[in-house]
Amino acid sequence: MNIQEFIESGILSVYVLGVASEEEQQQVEKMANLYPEIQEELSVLQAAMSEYVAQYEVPPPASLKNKVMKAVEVQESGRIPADYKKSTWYYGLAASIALLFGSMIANFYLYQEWKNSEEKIATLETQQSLMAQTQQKLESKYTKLTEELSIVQNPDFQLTYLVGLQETAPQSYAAVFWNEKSQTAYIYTSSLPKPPFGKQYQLWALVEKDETVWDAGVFDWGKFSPVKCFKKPEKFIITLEKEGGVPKAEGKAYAIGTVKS
Amino acid sequence: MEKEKTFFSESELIALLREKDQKAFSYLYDNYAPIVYGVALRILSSEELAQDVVQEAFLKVWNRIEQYEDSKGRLFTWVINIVRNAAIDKLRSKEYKTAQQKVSLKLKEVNKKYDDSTQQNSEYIGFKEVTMKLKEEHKKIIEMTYFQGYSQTEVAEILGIPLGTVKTRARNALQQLRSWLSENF
Repeated sequence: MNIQEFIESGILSVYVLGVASEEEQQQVEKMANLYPEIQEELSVLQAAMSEYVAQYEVPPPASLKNKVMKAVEVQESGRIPADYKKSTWYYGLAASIALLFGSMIANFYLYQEWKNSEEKIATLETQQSLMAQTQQKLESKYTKLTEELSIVQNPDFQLTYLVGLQETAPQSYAAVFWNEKSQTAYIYTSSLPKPPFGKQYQLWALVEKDETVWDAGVFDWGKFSPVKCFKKPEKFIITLEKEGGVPKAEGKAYAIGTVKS
Repeated sequence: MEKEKTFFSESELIALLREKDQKAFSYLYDNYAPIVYGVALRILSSEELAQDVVQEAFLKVWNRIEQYEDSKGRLFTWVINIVRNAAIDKLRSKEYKTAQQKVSLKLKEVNKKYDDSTQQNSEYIGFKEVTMKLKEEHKKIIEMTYFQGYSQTEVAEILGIPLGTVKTRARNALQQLRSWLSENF
């Protein structure tokens, strides 16, 4: 290649400006080695650029020199005496091992942190779902209570108190709400003894003069429960029967109440 | 810290640095740091980033002095290239990277951005009055390549000139610097 052409192409300038491609860099270095004229031209351009750049000098803060010198000192204090200093692979290896250990410790720590976080999240999630369940239960209870209260306040429902019998349920009560118009009835008691496992209270309706008794159904203790009553009885009687009820009363009577006429 | 009074010639300095002489390194720092810092600051426009880069660059000089070959140029050029490359790397690793990717899409915008950023740079506090007066087009090509790190292709795209013209313009710019030098020294 013509030397003059090479110089005039501007390739040396882009090299000095630090934007030569890798290929161009190699080319410039090769040519500069081969031809002193090119080397000379390159040196002059570098000097010119240096002068230009030197105009932008700004004194750095004094603390920066301390930092730089300290960094060098720290690095040198860890250096192995020159006799052993055959190559730098040793430092590379030592640094790699140190980094590996550092990384392992960091990983372990992060893993622990992560596990802790996972556990915390799991606990919180459980708590949250329990709370949601509780809230749901409370909500449905509240809705039910509201419904029950609307029954209590409804004048169409006739209230009959049943009183606990002396030998089976002294000082106990039950309340029957009966609506003649809609032929619906409800019972509530939590003061009668709680039925043992496998047993349930059953409500009977009685018209003495006709000597008729009919089954008003079993109900759950402690719950506002619907029962059946299709005509006006004179009395209500509660007996304790096997779970699910019986067609004809077999168990002991627990409470009795007279329906007001 | 007081400046080292001793004077080292460049070859002495290089020899001592190769022996890991910290006094020589301190001398090198005192003599080169203002320009090294100035270059980093001009490229990055951030004192914090520039100081990081200067520290990084001097450590590199300390550790890689064996790799320096005087056939490739003077020690000063070598040191300045180290800091310039480190600063450009930092520049590319950060916010400018996004702008770089958009070069071919939004040439006008980038061009404007470039104009704004050079304006900001020259207004940067602490810069001495630049005495070397250059033609605008020459100044621009030095700014874009040396201080902003745009490749030749990017410069061609942004300025809307053929790739070959970038080299010619770079050459003209450096010739102008050279003539300015011969007039004044």
